[in-house]
Amino acid sequence: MIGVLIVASIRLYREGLAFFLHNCAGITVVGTARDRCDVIVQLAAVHPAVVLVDLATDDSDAIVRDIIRLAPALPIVALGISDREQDVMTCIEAGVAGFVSREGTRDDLANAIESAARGDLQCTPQLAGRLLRRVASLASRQPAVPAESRLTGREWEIVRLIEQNFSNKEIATRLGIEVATVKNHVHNLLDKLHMRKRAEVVRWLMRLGDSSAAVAPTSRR
Amino acid sequence: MVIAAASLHTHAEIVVKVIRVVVGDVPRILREILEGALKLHPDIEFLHTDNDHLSRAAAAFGADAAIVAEAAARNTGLHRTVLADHPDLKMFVVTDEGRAAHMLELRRTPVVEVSPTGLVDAIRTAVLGPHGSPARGSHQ
Repeated sequence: MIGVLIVASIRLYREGLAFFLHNCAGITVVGTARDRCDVIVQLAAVHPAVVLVDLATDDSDAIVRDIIRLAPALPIVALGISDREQDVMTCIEAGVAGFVSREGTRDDLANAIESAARGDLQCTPQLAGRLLRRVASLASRQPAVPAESRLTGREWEIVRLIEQNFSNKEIATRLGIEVATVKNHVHNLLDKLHMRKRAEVVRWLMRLGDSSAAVAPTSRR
Repeated sequence: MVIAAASLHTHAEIVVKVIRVVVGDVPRILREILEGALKLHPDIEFLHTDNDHLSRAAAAFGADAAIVAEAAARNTGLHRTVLADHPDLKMFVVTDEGRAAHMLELRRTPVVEVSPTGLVDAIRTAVLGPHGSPARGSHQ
């Protein structure tokens, strides 16, 4: 049974939705809240599995932020979202796990709540496309993670020994580990650096200006 | 021995006025909430229609009350048009925007926030009057 807390300042919606959801199999309304203060009190009191927030509620954006701050893992379903792409995106970026427009049906609402409780997002193919474009757009704005920062401390040790032309067996002896473990480390670090041969690692180090002391982290293992 | 029992049945006919409510275009989720609330009451019949046909549907259905969305009332004056055609109709304007000040322009009695049950009671009172007799010339 999914316990739902309904947040709606409009009584007709608040009580209507409670009645509505009361008759949905697998869903139980554990509480209702009309404003921001009420939400905070109810969250602690009723421990819902999902919170349904009517976006027409005053301070609904602040309410969503409060819920995420107080219960980060608690899924939020927004009701009354418009079909505008920007509104949907704003909602998702705010941390909402599901949404239903005012033209949605009771079944849509129940499905959104059940999906949110499972950790799924129910959305149309169009919205999925928008989300993918949005993710790609955000990813293109992020600075690329430098290759050297992806290596662990142990991998850095091995990189330095590769640079000195040590074999896997010699590296294993120097580090006091098994050869197979060295091979695993070499495989992983080549993978992280998108390289295929040890010689490429040496050339890459040279390109870094042989400033290994500056770039090699010593505390990460 | 056969005992024949006879009883005198008194049939008291209670005439219940059926209240017909026509609902214009309101957000679907609100419509389903209203429908759910109204369906609980066998003395209330419910018809949904689009705003363009609301006045005609009210006449055909013999509606006692109408529910329209505040946005339609604000933007098109739907409530005035329908009331002009059906002066005895009790008009209810609902909003899903709790902050809409437009409600204040519509009121004759104080605007109150109602529950689904409260809305049904308000419809019944508006149509039948406070003591169950049909009210005339008032709307909420």
